[in-house]
Amino acid sequence: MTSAGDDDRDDDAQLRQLRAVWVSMRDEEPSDRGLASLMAAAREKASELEHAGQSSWWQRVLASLRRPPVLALATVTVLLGGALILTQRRADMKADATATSESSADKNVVERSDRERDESVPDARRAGAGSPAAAAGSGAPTADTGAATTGSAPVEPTLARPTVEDPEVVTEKAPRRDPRPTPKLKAPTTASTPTAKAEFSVRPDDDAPAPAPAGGSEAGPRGGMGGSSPPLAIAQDEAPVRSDSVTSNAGVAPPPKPKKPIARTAPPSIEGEDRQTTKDASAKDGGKTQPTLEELVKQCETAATRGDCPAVRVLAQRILTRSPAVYKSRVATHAAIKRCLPSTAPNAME
Amino acid sequence: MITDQADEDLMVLYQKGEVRAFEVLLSRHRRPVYNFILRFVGDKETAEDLLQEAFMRVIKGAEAYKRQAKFTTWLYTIARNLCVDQTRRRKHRKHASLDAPMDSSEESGTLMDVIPGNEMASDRKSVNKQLHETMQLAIAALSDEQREVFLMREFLDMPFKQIADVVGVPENTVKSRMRYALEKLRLELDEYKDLAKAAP
Repeated sequence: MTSAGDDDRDDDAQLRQLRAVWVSMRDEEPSDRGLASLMAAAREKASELEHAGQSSWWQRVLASLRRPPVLALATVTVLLGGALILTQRRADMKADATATSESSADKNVVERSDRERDESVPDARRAGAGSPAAAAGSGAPTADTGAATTGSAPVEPTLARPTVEDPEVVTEKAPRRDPRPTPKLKAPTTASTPTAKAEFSVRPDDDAPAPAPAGGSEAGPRGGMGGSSPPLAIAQDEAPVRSDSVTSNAGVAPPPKPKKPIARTAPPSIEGEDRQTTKDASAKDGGKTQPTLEELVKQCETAATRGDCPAVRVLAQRILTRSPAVYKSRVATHAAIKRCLPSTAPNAME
Repeated sequence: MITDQADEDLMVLYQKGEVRAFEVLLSRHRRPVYNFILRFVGDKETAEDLLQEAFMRVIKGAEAYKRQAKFTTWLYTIARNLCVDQTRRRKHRKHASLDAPMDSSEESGTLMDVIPGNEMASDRKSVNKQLHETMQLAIAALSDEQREVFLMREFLDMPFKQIADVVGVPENTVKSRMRYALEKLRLELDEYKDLAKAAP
């Protein structure tokens, strides 16, 4: 009778009798059929196993590497490594993209700054040529627009371009820029540099977020490179133009907020100045934001070119009021302007 | 002595190329495995084939054997799977023929011979033979699940836990199957209880 350790047999009398029956059943003895072949296979396998045990270390390593757990581990390792590499590469690509966009933005700012500098240099140079006082005050080098926008910072002659532009080129440029409000800003270095008092002016509006030419990106309120702040220049710049050339009550308008970038509005037509009274000009003379003499001359030339004689007369009057010398040298000698002015006007003025 | 070593140690020795270890294992387990297979399938020839196949699988799978596994559990799992496959293959033969000999030997009778007649057995030997054959029929009438559990429990003296490992079911399921198997055998052999009492 068998007796297991975990026996929970419910041995009643009948079951015990039955169990006695099958326990008494004798076990059969298996025949030796196939025993020889079985032992032959066992010997062959044993020699194979023995040979496998004597195999070199690299064979054993190779055999162990072929086992499913090792293969699974290798697969998981490869997948994790791939995922890690992809993640790192994606992060690098993101960083590159960010750097590229920032650099392109900076590049746009630099390009625009260069372009505006190119535009402003002839203007300033011509202003210097037109105004002896400005030429004397500035001392030759053209003030950089970036310096002009810093407000309290002294105007630094960062760009000294000795190039002498063709006057015709300058005069050709003027009409093209004429429809735009071309506000001028005095150099903000009223206290630190003597050039501030002079009539020398820069074109800070060029630093403004001008309508970007082809795909140009605006620097926005952030300004441009090197801490220059074009919005400040615009803010100081836009108001005088409107007050000076368009509206009559601009003189009483509150001073422009220095940091707020003002969107460039459609330039008022010069005809609008017909409706202005000359007292505006005189009011502006005492104001903080006077249009520069150069600007007035340019507007006058433009109006004359366009044939807008009433505007020419108004502007000529203002120029004459502010600087008779400039009037003589640039207004009175200008053929187109002369056609609009009454023949007696200059003499009367004088 | 190699013959005194445990089955698992012998298997490890065989893994190292020791043929003698396998011989010891074979001599130790050949007979019980054969009887288990024979009582499972009920045919000597098939039982011998399956026995050889079972040990052949042990030889082939010797590399994969782990020392932690109990050798008998592994061996009887192989034998049991072979028996299950064999019984599935011959499913078409659901019932044993009453005219067919119970085994291949010449002197073995048919099932008709062991069905009890009205006359009592003349001597004890014939009573035992009749009882054993009836018992074989009753075991063959068990379902495969109940039969394998019954055979391992009553003839191989396996613990329920090991039976559960071999069969691949929970231990409680094994116990349940064992209970049902005993109940069925009790019913089948109820009319022979007097014979059982007379049996030595």
